[in-house]
Amino acid sequence: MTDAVVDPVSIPVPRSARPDRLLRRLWRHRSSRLGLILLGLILALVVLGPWLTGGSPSSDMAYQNLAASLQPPSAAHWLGTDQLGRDELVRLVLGARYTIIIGLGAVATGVLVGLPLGALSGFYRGWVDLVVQRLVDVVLAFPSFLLALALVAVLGPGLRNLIIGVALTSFPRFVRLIRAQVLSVRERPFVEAALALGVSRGRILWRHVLPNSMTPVIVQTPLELGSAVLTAAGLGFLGLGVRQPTPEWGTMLGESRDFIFSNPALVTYPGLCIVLVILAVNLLGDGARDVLDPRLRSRIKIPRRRRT
Amino acid sequence: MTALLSVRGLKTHFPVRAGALRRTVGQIRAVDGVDLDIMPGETLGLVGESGCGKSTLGRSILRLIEPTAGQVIFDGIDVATLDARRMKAIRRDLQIIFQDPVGSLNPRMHVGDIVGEGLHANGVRSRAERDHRIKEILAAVGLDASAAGRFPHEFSGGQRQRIGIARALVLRPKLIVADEPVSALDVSVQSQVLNLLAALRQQFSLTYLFVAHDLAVVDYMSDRVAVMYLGRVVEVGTARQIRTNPLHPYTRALLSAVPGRERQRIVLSGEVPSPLTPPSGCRFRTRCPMAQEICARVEPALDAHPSGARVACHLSH
Repeated sequence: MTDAVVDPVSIPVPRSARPDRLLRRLWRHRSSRLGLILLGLILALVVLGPWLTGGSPSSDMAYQNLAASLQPPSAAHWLGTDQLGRDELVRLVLGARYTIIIGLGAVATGVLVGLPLGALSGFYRGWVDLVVQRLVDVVLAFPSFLLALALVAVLGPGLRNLIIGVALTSFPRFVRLIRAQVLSVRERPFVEAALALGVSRGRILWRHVLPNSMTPVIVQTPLELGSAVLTAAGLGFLGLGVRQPTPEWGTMLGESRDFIFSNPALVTYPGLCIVLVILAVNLLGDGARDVLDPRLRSRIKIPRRRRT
Repeated sequence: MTALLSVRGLKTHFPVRAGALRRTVGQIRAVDGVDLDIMPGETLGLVGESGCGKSTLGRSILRLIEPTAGQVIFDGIDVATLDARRMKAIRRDLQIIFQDPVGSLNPRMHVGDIVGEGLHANGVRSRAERDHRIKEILAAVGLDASAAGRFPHEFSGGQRQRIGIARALVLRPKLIVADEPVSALDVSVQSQVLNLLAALRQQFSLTYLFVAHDLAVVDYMSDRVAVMYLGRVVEVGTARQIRTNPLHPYTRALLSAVPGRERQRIVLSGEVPSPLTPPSGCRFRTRCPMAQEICARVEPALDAHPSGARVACHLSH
């Protein structure tokens, strides 16, 4: 029996969400470990990308060279070159940082906007709740991709606008999630106890309600990261992503679709990269859910008892 | 001697809303005109069936639920209508112990922070002084000082209830509302916690409003006992009088239900009526084996009985 299997008998014990312990527990969980490894590799590309490829996106290898366009893989170009003669591998490696920056930026913005709105909405109820929820209703009434598309079309392409557009589609989900949690936690007896002690409302929200409402947010965040990456790639594919010749994966995918029959590898590589990122964050999200909310886990999978 | 707490005509009603417009279609009269006095240093037991309003009464006194009408005079001040700032100042004198030893402790806070939060909220800003007083109060409830650095889930039910008691006690309150403090505990642990509460009453000269549904527990703890039925107090007397000579037919029925007694069991027919539409006159008349015509017309007042008790029944006088 490996450590990764949480004994269901220990379920009632409240799980700590302290970052150091959370990471250690995620590491012990089989699927989230795979997610962590994948995400670690991708983050390594983000940090080390320019160094590995020998320079900035405008370096020799990434620069266009029409004489060498659409070459098959070779010792000089491991994954071949694209229609403008740019090294595909170099562009993929450099593209990791744009995808991750957009994804993280959008999710961070979504949490930063959604968390306070949802928490205040659920905690104070009344007109605050009414205003925030109608706002969220309006945003959710539009198909989310269409909304991001429209916003980026209006604001114009570019990294910052892309982040804003994608964040707009993800913050309502955080609002709803945290509001539902806060609504239930604020009715728990320890909140009443704090009221009886004369603790201020703001402090009750901060010290009692929020810490006990965070678990689903922690679980949801990696999953939202996946959907943000996908939305951003979709916008890039449609030519609304970051400006050329920035090697963003979605944009690369869009550019190479003309060669889908003559040179299918060019579509495959960026697509595969996007899939890997989304796979990584989903594995991580599933693991986080198992680790932080063991009740869900026991319903899905009953650990086998193997005693020695 | 003047009462530490005098409750006069206290009513707590909850509106019942229905339909798309959330119009108020009725009132749940959880507490409906309660008069009570608690003397300094005494323990007043409050008994009644589930849903009779005992917990709501306790919470209304503390303004954890806003009362609809009536007075709650604590130490000469009517706290039922006090503004938020002055109510906060009163809270240190007026504390509560909860029934649920698991739910009433924040699972993400250290025990020391849970116990010390009241100090922080009431202006004790010095970390050293808080730590000192936390340690002191933990010792008083029988917990080791090392408990302060641990989380609630590391403790047993009885120990958690001690943490809850420490939290209430750390501000040195005058009155503690104990809302079913032992009913969630194992029987073996119940007596330990009850004895602790009794010892603390001496040590800190406390006054208790002791809410429970277990007559044996209330009898053991209380100087006087009040019996509630459907939002009203039907009888108040000394613990001994209630035990040996209950006057109200409801009290008698309640006592006869205690197992192991040699008296004849009085089985009440029917269910407790809805607090949405309580019966006219005496609330107990629909189930009372002695009900007369007058009971439906006139609501009996909680009048003094020659024995010294107070009872709300037309037939007991």
